Amino acid sequence: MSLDASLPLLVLLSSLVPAILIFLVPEKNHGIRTTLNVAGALTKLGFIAVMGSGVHSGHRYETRMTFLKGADLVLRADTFSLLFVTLSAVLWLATTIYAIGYLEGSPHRSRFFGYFSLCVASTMGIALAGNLLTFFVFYELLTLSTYPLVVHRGTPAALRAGNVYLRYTLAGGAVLLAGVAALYSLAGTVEFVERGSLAPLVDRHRMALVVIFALLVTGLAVKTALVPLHGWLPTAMIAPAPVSALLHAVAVVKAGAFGITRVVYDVYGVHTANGLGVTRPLAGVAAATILYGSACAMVQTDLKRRLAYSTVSQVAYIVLGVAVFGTLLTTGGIVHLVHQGLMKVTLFFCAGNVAEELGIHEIRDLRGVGRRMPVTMVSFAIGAFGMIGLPPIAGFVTKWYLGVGALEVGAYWCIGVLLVSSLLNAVYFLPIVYAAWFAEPVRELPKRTRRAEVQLTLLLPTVATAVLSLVAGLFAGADLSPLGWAKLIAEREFRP
Amino acid sequence: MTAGFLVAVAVVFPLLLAILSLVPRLRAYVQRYGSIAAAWPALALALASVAFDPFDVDWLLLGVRIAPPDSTLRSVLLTTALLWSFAGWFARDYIIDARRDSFWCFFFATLGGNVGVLVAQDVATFYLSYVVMTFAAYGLIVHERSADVWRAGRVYLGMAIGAEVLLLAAFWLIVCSRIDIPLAEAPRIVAQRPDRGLVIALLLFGFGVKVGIVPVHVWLPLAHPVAPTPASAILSGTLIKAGVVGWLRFLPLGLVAVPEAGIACALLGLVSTLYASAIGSIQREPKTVLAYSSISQMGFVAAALGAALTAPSTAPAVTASIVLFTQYHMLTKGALFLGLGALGGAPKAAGRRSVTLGTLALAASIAGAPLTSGALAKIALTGAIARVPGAWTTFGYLLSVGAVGSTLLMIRFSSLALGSSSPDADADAARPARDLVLPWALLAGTALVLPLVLARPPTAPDTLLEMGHLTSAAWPILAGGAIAVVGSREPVARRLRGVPPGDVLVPTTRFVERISSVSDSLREQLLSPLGPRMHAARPRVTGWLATASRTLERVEVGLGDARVLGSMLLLLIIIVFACAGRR
Repeated sequence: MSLDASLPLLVLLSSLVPAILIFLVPEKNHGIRTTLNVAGALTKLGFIAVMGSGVHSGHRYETRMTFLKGADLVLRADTFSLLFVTLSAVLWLATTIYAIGYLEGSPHRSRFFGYFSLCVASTMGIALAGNLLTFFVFYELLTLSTYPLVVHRGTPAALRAGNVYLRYTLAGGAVLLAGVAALYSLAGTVEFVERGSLAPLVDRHRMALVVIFALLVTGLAVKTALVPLHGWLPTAMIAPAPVSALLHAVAVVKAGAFGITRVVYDVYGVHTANGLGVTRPLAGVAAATILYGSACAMVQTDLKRRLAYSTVSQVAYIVLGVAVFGTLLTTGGIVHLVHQGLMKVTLFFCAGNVAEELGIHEIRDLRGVGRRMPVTMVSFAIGAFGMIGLPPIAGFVTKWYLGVGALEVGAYWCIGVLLVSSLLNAVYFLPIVYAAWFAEPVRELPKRTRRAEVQLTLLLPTVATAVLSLVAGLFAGADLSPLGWAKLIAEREFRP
Repeated sequence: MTAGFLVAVAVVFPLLLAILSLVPRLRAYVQRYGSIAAAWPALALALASVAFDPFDVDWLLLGVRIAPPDSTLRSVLLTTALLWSFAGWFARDYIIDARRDSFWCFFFATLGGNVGVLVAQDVATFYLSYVVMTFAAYGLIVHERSADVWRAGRVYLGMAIGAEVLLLAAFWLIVCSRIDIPLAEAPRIVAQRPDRGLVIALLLFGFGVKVGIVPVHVWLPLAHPVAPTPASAILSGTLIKAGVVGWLRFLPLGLVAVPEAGIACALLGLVSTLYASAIGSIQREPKTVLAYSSISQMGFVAAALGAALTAPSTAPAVTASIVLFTQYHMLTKGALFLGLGALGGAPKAAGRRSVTLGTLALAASIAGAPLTSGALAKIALTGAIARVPGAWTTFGYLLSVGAVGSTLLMIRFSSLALGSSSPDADADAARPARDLVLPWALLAGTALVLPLVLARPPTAPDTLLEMGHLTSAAWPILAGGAIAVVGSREPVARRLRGVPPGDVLVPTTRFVERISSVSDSLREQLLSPLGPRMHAARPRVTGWLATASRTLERVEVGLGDARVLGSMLLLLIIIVFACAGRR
């Protein structure tokens, strides 16, 4: 196997191998486990860097293995998969370091980090999947590898949440499977190719294609947490902070959004999907989710639950951008895949820091925390301003592209949705920032026990992702920024 | 390229200071020297006549365009930078409390945003600057952290965010599919859009919130009294002018006639002028009176803007006069605010006397007394409006009634500020008096002289000496004085009291409260006969809800069941294949 053919597999293995090894490492061997984790993450980043420069100049990387007769498992690096792979790898590194600090001294760390790596391996598989079947396999693997993370604490509440999570995701998986099977029987192997491959079938199988689209998207909508299939997400908040961060920013929710994007662009093709008229209902659902998620977020008093509903709303931005026909909207949707990840991971890290250091979970207890934990709360403010869409943070770039894109295609209702949503975002994020920085504390906050406001393994990833959120917005015009990359993807998808 | 560097430095330098002012080792130096020097790069940019080809920094934001500011912007930049320098100098010895680190951080950040609003050359960068300025100014307003302050801060932020949304919609409509455009093209694009009425309305109200146009002015009289004095000077001096700059930079002045928008704008301006004079002249807090005076003065600007929107041929004259008016008002209002602080901090009689005299001169200028810079600015503005034919001549007369209002406001202000022994409540003897009086005196001098120096024909300073202008400037003063004499008589004065700052906001909130209380009591009264039955019905309703949610839960549990799931899957697959086979 040449290097070109093995690179995608190597990216996958760089978290799969550590996963297996970590399961074998005895519980108390922190050193080996940490080394494995970090080495895996860094190796992966190295591989991705090589692939990235290649893909940018039009090179192709593909690993093909025979799975069933006529149904290969394919791992392939194209522009879109590379965007998601890079995001996952970068945030995985940050989250791993965070998790090492967060779970210091707690039991079952071997199990935790094993599944953690497995979860990332599945995400890599989803990102690099070259056809629908491969995608499905890893998508289900992700469900199975995240369950132990959700129930990690082992409390009755955690187990209940795990149950809910499993029920939703397995049912979604079943519907997705039906869609995949139907499509395979109709069209044979469905490879992901730019601009899709189903156009020739439209004349003969219009109805079937519509139904299959509905099945695929409904199956994917569960993980994407589109209303009304979002119920599992706020419940899963019971998981430890790094898991929530991973679930919301890269792994589960993003896998769903990524899948929907793949289905619309690389299975059906944007022109075909638009011609079938299937994207319009999807856009409607996305718009409803944006508003509903924001409205729910406003009434939450628990910080993590509010962040969870904010995810429901923000991930629907991606779906909205993908579902409404137009190059700029697509760019906005795709780039939000990265931007939302960076900002949300920051917010969850901050929530984790505050919970870990001060034991605060409720928003009203955050009063005056800014003075005690300035770096954390500055990071939080960056994430929150970004979510509202204020410049120069990444979220601004997304909102600007979505707004301008909506006007480009005359979708004025999108403008309304976006503006109302940013108002709602301001209503539920600004009071948190305000409480932390301007309000007087209600009770004495615990004093510092070390030089930094919270241990460095928690603080550094928080700062790093906050800086990345800022940099992604401030230098959005650069070629290699998430925006630059998203533009490249959208251009290739819309070429006639 | 090197000159472009100066543009960048003018914006970045204050922002850098904002960050450095938080570094423990540096903050003392940054606050001591940065307070005065932060606006100097902007000042240098305004004074140096830089000329270079515009260029784009593609990698920054959505592609930042850097170009030399035109003469209009440089004029505003000049007075903006001057006011910031003097206000910073003043604040250096005025803000001596424990929260001064936070004050300076927000001070520098607001300055950076403010300069950005003036030198930004593309829409996205302008929006960024505007947002930075707006949010950083919140930190200045709430510096004192008391109950009043929180209310003012909430109103400010709420209105600012609402305005932000309007502006965002306008900006999207303007840039459309080009993502970001050079700002110089914006007016032309607005003029050519088929829905330009909508865009103009969004811009008028979006920026109008900052400017303080009635009825979106309510944050001003709440925020000014609670902010520390130098911050009030900045709010009234430069922050609200950022809205005016927004109007000038985005509206299609001189390109297309939009009489509906023009007349609406002019009427709103007139209403603002008269309304703010009436409400402001019965306020009890000198800073509140000054805030209403700013609203009233900005009404003149809106009226002139309306003229330019109606008759494109007048646009150059109107723009020039608005710039002059902006410059005069920025410096004069800033100096009046700082004077309040200096009065409180000058216990010695000599210091107090000079500040009192200066304040009277500045107040006379705002009132538009003959031979003052204020009179010149008003002559320029009304002169420009008078060029529009038709009913606008009458409109010009109505505006001179506004001048009577300005006089009233200034008389009220002077009696409040100079009458009491300690007008500035938070002043204390610990502040070094001399250091407050000096920056105030320099700013006051600049305010009285600089607009006269900067004025260009047809309103060169010697027009002030023309007989017609002397009388037209004098009669509103006399009329205002007469009204003030009548109004200050006890029975009239007693009846006039009682409009709280924030005027319409207060009855509006009360109205909403009243409605909700009325509807509460109505519901109680209407439902009380039904009470027992309602009581009986409630468990039934909640019972239904519970049943529904239980059913849902059962459905959810059922979905997890393998048999149900399997059979549903089979069914689905059959349906799918049936559909596929049919074709």
